[in-house]
Amino acid sequence: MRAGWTGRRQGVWLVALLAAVLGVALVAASCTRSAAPPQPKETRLTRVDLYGDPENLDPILKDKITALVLNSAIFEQLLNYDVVEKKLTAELATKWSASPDGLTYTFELRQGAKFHNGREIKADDVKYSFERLLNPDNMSPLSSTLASIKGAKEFTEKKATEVAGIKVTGPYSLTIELAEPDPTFLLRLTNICCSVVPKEEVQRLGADFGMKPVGSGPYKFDSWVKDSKVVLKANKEHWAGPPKTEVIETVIVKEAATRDAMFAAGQIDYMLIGDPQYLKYKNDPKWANNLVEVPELYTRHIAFNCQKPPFDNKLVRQAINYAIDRKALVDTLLQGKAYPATGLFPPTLMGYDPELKGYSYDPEKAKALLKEAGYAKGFEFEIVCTSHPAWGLPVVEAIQPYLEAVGIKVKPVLAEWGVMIDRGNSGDFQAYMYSVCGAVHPYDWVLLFHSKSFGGAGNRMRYSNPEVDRLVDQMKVTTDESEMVRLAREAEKIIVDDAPWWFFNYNKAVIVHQPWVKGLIPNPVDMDYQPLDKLSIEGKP
Amino acid sequence: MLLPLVVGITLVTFVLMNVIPGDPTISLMDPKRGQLDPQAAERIRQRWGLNDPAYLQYLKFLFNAVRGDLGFSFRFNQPVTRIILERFPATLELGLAALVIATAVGVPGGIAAAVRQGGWLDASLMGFCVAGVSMPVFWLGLLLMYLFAVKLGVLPAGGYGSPSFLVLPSLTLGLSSMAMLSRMTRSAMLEVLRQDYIRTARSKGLAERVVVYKHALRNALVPMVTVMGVQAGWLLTGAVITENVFGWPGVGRLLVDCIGQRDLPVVQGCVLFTVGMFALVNLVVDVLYAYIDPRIRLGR
Amino acid sequence: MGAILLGAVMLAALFAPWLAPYDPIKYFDNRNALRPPGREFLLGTDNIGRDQLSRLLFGARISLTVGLAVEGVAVAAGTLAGLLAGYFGGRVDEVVSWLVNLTFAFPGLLLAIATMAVLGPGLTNVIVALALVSWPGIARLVRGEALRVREQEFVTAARALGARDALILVRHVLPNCVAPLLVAATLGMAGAILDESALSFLGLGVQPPHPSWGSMLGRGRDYLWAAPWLTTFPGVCILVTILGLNLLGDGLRDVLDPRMRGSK
Repeated sequence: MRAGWTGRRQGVWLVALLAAVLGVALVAASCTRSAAPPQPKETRLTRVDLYGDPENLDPILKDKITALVLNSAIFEQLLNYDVVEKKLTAELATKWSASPDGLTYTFELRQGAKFHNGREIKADDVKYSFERLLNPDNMSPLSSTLASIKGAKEFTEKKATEVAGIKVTGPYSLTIELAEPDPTFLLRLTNICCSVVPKEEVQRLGADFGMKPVGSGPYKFDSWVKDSKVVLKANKEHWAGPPKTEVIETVIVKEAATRDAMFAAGQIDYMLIGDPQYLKYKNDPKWANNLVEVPELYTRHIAFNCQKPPFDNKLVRQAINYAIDRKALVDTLLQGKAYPATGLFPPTLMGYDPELKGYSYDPEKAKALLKEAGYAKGFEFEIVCTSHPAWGLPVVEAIQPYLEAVGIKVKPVLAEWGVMIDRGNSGDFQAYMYSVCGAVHPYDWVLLFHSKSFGGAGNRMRYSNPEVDRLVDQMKVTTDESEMVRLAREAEKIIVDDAPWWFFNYNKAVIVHQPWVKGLIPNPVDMDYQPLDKLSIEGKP
Repeated sequence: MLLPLVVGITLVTFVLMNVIPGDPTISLMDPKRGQLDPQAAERIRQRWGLNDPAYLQYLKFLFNAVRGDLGFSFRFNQPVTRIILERFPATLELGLAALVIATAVGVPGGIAAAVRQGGWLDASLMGFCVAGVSMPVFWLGLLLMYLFAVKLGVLPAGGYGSPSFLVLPSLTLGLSSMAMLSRMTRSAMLEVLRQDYIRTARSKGLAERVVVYKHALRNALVPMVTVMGVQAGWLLTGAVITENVFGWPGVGRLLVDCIGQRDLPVVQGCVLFTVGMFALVNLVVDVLYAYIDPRIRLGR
Repeated sequence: MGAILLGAVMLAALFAPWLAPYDPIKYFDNRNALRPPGREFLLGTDNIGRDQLSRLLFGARISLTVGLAVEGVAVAAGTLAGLLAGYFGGRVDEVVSWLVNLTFAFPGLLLAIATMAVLGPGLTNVIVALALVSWPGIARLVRGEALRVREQEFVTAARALGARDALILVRHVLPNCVAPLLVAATLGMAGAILDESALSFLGLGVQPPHPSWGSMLGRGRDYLWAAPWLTTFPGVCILVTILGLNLLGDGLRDVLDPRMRGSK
């Protein structure tokens, strides 16, 4: 009877021991992380990454915004694009020019610019970096950025050991020859994947280069706790002088409610906000003056499959554009955090046409168009959509009553983003809801409607109009800016009339910031894409 | 026993991930841009054998896994083992902290409730425990965050760093385990306190304290350790939601992210890793059993 | 106590169409978006102007459906597997035990997440995924019970008298399992409803526009600060229901099976 408990006397001790062991293990676990003690003397700015870990900071591997923002501070390219002034600016190149035929570009490099390891940047580094991007062994998903350079194709197919079109003409000068005209070539050079990287560091670090990147930008990479935090430190030897803030900390927080709490607690200095939060900040006198707003270069839309009935009929597509009150949806569903679409181009895009009025809300006209198209009794269709609050399921739910009023039934099909794109690429859909395109040049926008871009290249609508194709082809060889704008507007008019999309709205990107943050810009490319080296902290209590 | 289990589980994951619609190279695309060069995608598919027949991919994975190589994630451009190990300390830390909270509060709470069975302490403790297991974890997390981070401003709302960051997530994660453990402790103690030998001990005139802590508790330990084992398994591997709410950089969050991104090698790796952790915890529990109750032998 | 809470939820679910002041899915008017609780909308409105009270009432139906269906499937499958394994032993037992261990070696919620990722979101799929992770617990319980009963005299006697296996299983083994099963299923329902809210939190739950509490919570969380009523009320609903189920389960356990006290 006593057998169970007489042996040893450690009832309570065992529990205590267990707790102690766990405690020790916990302390041990805490010690494994390198928690750098905060140094109050440094000016420190904390931004937030909404989307998740940057995954890899090798500039040729990633074009997700999470990595781009950081890499734009760590690395430099030949040129930079000023998104507010809408013009190219000097970065590692101080002078550049194009030949009259638009095929040969000449660059003069900045003297005295240095990598973070102290070595000066020369023209050979540019050639090495571009070839690194194009080299198929490096598995860059972005190599097509430079595909228009002469000899790039042969190099990528391993028929040549170097890219013939890139010629180093002196320690600080080089020329690049294109295989075919590319109106966006200089803009492409501003992409992060075209960063100039130090060969010796790439070779020394191998695959780790993406984990401990070494560049030449205003900030040096310092540390990275995966899925949690990336710390950058000022590069005091930068050619433009040291940046204003000494430490830039990026915390990765995907939950909006958590970000709100962290912002309210002063843990975050500025952050992008979504529709659910917009009015809260807008209506709060404490924050209303601390908002930066811009129409982003994205057009939210429903894409119609122009090859499948009923959307092979232009009248049906137009009818849907007339049937929905986009302004009311923007005001209520999106709480005013968007600009109703008047066409394809957002107001911040070069070539935006203020004359274009787009579709009005006119359910009677929609009904008439449906009748004319032979759908007087209406029809039912499926919209593949994600759960995104501004271009996903809630929007589809909200347009249901509008379309029902003209006799059209809508069935939302919730899908993950990847699945939706997959279905879009293969044409297995009637309609889907999405938001593209993010490019700063109208050519990239209208290219999405060219019949050669069917599927994965962007024309998932399988929309085809020879007149649009002709205009786009013409834009490709145009070097004159006003001519470019004219062609773009003409193409936009046709596209809007053909209505392969239901044009919904342009995102109003909004940043809310603490009063002490200075230097934020209304960046239409991606509001999160702030020039980290220009940000400063002034008068923080 | 473990090997067929591992093979079975990896096979299940593999089949699951292969029938999920969606091309894995899509994970390289930025959702906002939505374009990927088809040639580059094809190059990546070839390089990482994504065009191979599924069974071949699986065999390759097994063959490498046996040698400790869990594969390579083209999304991170890093070996999977490394990706997981980088996130494991956070998971371990959170899980252990939650376990410490659950044990440190749950066990004494359960004992106190059992000793004063039927009293107000018992009633309120058990009421609290039922509420604790009934609470949706992320709602609890958000409430705690609202209270302590926003209203009171005493603790950080989210993130990872100094020990103060650990408080809210570990409370959130530990609460339901704590409730479970203290209920278990209470009923195990009650069970034991009803036994004859306790009555004998009491009738011998031993102090109540000695009876409870020396005699009763020891015999109540087996079911308690069982529950702790189960909870430990959960806490160390299943903190997905807590990790998401508080932006805690652990393995659970990695796994969910990677399912969404079709990053099969990482998903596989996380699954194997998780199963390994589970097995390890069970082993520890078995060892503890043998220690607590000599009648139970290892290696039955 | 538990029964009262649960009864209230069930009544609400049953009479939702009569109790609800508005249509939970279709009725909406954007001008009413995000109204705080007030006279017109007792519990406020969601981001597209639907009445929260109506949605919660109909949500009770979905939550209970998920709970009942998951446990229904789990109990049916688990009982069958457990009975066969426990009673016949041998190969059958080996296979069932292997399957049970396989599922137990995997954190349940993660398995459900993975399953949902394959099946895609939707009410039926949630039920399938959660049943998949729930049956092994039942199977293990029934197996143990069957093992115990098998050795008892009345069973041996019945067998000696030439009773068929199926008959013995149904007549003698099964009734002995009912009490613990009832307890396990009640508590399991609570788990299933909680897990459904967890899946919804990760965006894998019941497909909108249907108002599941879990998905309401999941989608309301972005409005945590702007419109706290969107998370508060569904949260309270879940809490109350789970609380009811847990209390009921505990009560049942005390009444039906004192021997089982406290074991999970």
